[in-house]
Amino acid sequence: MTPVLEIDGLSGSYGSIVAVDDVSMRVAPGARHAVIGPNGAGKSTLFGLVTGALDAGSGRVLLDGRDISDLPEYARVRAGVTKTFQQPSLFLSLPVLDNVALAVQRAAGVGLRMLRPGHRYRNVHRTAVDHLAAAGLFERRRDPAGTLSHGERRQLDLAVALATNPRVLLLDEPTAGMSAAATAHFIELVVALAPRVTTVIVEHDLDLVFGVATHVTVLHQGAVLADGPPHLVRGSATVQQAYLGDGVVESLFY
Amino acid sequence: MTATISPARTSAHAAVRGGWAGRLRRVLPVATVLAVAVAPFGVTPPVSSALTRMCAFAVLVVGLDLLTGVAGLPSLGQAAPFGAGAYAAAIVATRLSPVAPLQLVAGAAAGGLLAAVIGWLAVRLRGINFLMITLALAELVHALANQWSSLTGGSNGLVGLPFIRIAPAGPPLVATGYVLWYVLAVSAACVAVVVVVSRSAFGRTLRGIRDNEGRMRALGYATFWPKYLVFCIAGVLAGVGGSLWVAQAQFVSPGSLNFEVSALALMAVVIGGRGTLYGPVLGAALVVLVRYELSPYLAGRGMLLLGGVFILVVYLLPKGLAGGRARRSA
Repeated sequence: MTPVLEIDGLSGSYGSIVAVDDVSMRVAPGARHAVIGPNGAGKSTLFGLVTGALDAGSGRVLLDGRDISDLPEYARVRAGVTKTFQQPSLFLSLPVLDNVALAVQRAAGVGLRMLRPGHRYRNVHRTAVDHLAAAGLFERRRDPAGTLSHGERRQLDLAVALATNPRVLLLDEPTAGMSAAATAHFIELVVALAPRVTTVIVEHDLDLVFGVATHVTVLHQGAVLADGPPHLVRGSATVQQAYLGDGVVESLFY
Repeated sequence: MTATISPARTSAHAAVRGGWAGRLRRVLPVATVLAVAVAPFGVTPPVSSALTRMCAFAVLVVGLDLLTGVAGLPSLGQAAPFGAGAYAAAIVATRLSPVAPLQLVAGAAAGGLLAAVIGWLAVRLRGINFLMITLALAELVHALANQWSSLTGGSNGLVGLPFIRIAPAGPPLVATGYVLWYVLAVSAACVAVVVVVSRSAFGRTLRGIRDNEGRMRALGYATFWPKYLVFCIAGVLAGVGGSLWVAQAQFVSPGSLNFEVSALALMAVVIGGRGTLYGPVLGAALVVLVRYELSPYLAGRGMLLLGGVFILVVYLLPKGLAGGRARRSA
């Protein structure tokens, strides 16, 4: 089966610091592919390189076998790769509904139309309302996004990303700062996305990762340390070493 | 459960919209236009001329509000397309025809073309850098108007323009009231166009760019194009404003391209309430009133008074005269 997303020898650096070093991975269609690793392993940078928000030093990104490495960020989104943000990135002065409608009207190709009032595009409006309802934010649709709580902003951020109609959705620490109930709701939502949307998840909560993921890639110091089905990765000695160190941990506590 | 909550909310909103505040907002623009239209029957010609200048300036300012308040691109160089429109209209008037709509088209085209050139460079920059490059390029255009004497009359400008006519066979509009009606009609139409654009899907795109351009790219928007488009639209409007200004003044000089014009226009946007469109129209009237009409009676200290007004507004009404009940984009 052709991978829906293939990363081939991708590298990226900030000045002289190499954050992602020759990373390759393949994401199968419909998978929930988790990327884990200690802080500073290069997970968020990898996402930036895949979406085109950051410039890759070398390597290729393929979507459905098509090389999208030379496309700018906005064109990769149109091709079907979208990411959510570690810190919710919203349009804070605009109503909640407009935040989603911006994504929908772009996907519908009417973002530059100047004559008809924005809310009179029935299909755009209806699709935006559907996305809001799925995120549980319908009641807040008229409020400025800036009045939402942190948890609600996370939900809206996800709704906005989904409204771009992605084939592959990159979720950057999606449950950080979420309540247990919101996390449970989020997991339901992500599970329901397959097989239409393939997800790649960066996450620190290992219980969540091993509960949800169908495939796990472990990054350590910018490189791939392990890659495979969850139960194999979990048992790997090298992974445990990367997370816990080699036995010197105990000495810290005595 | 949700079904019981949502209709209550919706009807509450409908009540607000249909209430006196909503009705006032719908009636006020019409009432303003009517009041200005009947003014020539009750006021002296100098007052009519002052109202005419306010209307012309308001077109420049409402375009700048679309650029600055709605799209979040604060320009300090709108004097350039304004002056280009003024010169284009004046050149048509002296060399070609006294027909006002022809001068209007020439002014709009000149403002739009100049903005198309400046914008190609400027909209790639953000914030203070955008402010600086628009200012620098406008100063360049100002210098050009001073130097290119064969076309612009140099520092003397172009004087003694003929009275405008609406049609080639029509009579010249000598009475100030007729000129006011012409300028009022064009500027009201321009404001209406800006309101339509601001409420459109494109207007929503502009607000998205203002709030968070990075996320707009992450939604698949090539943000250069909407920014470039709105810069050109603002340029066309500035050019129209320039041609209307000349229709009344019958005179143009490099003074129309001054930094002061750019600064006054931005000031009118801030005083009126950026992003509200009708607020800046008010701001434009206030700025013209103080700077051009009252200044002679204040021994030329109009700018001092305007500075005082500006400081008061910024401190007391940080969102401008139209603040508070501003902007509800649907």
